[in-house]
Amino acid sequence: MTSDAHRPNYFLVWLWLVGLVFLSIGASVFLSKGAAILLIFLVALVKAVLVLLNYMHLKFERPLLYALIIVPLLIVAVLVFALFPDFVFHH
Amino acid sequence: MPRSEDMAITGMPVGKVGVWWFLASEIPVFGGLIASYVVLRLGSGGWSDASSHLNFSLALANTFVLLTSSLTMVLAFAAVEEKKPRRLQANLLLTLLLGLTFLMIKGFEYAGEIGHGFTPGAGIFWSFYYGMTGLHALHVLGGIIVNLVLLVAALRDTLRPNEHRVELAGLYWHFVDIVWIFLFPLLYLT
Amino acid sequence: MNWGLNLWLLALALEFASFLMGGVNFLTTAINLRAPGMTFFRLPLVVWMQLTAAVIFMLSVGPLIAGAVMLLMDRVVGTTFFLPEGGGQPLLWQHLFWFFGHPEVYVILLPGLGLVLEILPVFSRKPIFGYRAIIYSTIVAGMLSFVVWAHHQFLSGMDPRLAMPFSITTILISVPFALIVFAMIATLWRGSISFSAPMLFALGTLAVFILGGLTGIFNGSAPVDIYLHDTYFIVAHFHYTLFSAVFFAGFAGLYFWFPKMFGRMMNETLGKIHFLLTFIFFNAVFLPMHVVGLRGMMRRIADPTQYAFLQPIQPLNVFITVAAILLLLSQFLFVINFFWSLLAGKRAERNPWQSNTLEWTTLSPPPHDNFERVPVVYRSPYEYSSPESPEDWLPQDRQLSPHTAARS
Repeated sequence: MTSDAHRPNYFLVWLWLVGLVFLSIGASVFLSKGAAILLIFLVALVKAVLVLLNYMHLKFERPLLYALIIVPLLIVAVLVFALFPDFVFHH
Repeated sequence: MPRSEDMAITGMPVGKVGVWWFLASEIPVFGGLIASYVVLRLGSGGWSDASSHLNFSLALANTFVLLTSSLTMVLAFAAVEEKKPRRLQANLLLTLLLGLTFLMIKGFEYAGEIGHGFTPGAGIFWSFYYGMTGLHALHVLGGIIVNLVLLVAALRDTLRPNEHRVELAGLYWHFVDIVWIFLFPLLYLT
Repeated sequence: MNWGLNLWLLALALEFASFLMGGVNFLTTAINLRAPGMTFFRLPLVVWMQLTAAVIFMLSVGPLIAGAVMLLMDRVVGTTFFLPEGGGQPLLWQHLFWFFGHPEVYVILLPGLGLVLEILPVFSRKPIFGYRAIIYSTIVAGMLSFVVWAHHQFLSGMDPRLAMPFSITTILISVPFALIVFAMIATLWRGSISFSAPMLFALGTLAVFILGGLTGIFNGSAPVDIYLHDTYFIVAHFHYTLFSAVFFAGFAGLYFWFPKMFGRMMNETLGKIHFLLTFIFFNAVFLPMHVVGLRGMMRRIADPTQYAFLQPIQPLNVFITVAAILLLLSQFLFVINFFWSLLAGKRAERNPWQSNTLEWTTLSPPPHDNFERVPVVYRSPYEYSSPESPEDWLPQDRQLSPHTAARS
């Protein structure tokens, strides 16, 4: 549990999240396709991490909970990797 | 008897460990869907054209609705910690209403797309569009029900022994928000 | 529209959601609610196996839930995820299915092996051999189980470049299981073995599982599997692995924990006869299936006599069928034993097998909340024939007097 002393500023985090939405929209309008996609998913990652650390209080939690996010993501990465030959390089 | 707010060995409440395990198992559910979407999209063409028929402004509005509902949810948790029952009730109610707004806008969006002939059978992009947003909307609905149960308990003043549940419901609600954070660019921005 | 299939898919999705909740329960309990002194390396191995199985299940089932939702949508709302004419990929379903389907066999296998690992030390009166090595093997097997699934798809039309890596990982995963089997055999080595009904079934598991594991190595190799795919050889293989884990280990567990669960002993003689008949008829059913499979008989055919090349093995097929019926009939011995012992069996004491683990320190059957007081754990669960104790067993919760402790 968090104490008042080090509780994150929830409203500031919300402002960041909203600002980042506009950043990714800007990227999709002004940047070339490749650069836009890179930036857009980078921004989505940053937003997810902001929510995880601040709203879900992960920054006050123990390493077990970090493992509970990273391991499933690795497993999904294995799935994507193994699906590539069949569905992307299939020509 | 062990109770969900017990903090036995790890120093974490039992309920919190349980919810995090549940969320860990949810990652491969959406992960499987997103993985399939990504490889099929990279392996064939025409997806951007289909994507351009989506109603971007409604989705953008929905993004703000869901982000704001995450804020009110976490404020509800803060109200529990500060022992401010009125603020807890208000923020739970706001979260609930924002969740319902999200579903209404989504329904309106679906109706518009189906009206233009973009039904689930209109092509592989539309299959994934309805599959991903539909599964996400079901999760939003689940979260709304959980929040409703908590709100009713808060209004009847029976929540007190189980106030930690606000944090647990919040973890789930923020997870659903994070899923949307990825679905929005995957479907609307690329 | 075929509603049977739709309901099946819905049931699948709901069942998995409920299994997830069960997994959350196991994991949370073991992580947060262990008894004082019960460190992770003092947990009974069956708990370790159950935990690993829960983790494997929870992290592998997601893509299949996604796949079930997609298939259900294909059938009900007209999406085209798996329909080529709508831009979909049928092969995707196979990947999503087996991504879960292979880890799932370890979800079935591991708890069964765990039961056997609990029973072997009790009836050999020896500590388990390689306690930590078994745990590490279990974890390694759990990790490898996520990268073997495509060995079910060598003939599915998937990219042939995937065959080699998946063959390698599949053959690799036999290493941790071989280690666990060797640890079991080493636990038996020079023990004072008593052949009671639970022990017989545990030994049966070991014997049968070894044979199933060996044929698994053949099947994992892509060139061999192309020949054996979808034949009765495969049926024989997975019955030797999973019949051992589910039935032999399951019966071993039931005979072993029956006194704890119901407060009465099961009939030993009936149990031994039940084991003997099950073991004989099981092998009579599934050993000939290897031959039938190698002769080319495929799975899921209604009538093998309509193929000329299967005519010569027809007597074997008849033999298998008769043995299967006898295998089923011999299970009635268990049913009779179960209900008769439930009503009129000998009263069980707290610890009829003189076992070390915590459940044997409480009443049989356990009262509400399980323990009269919360037990405190002082040692690992397999201290049999320890020089520190006058008896040949040393329960996890017994505190040795300072005098005894100093002497050791």
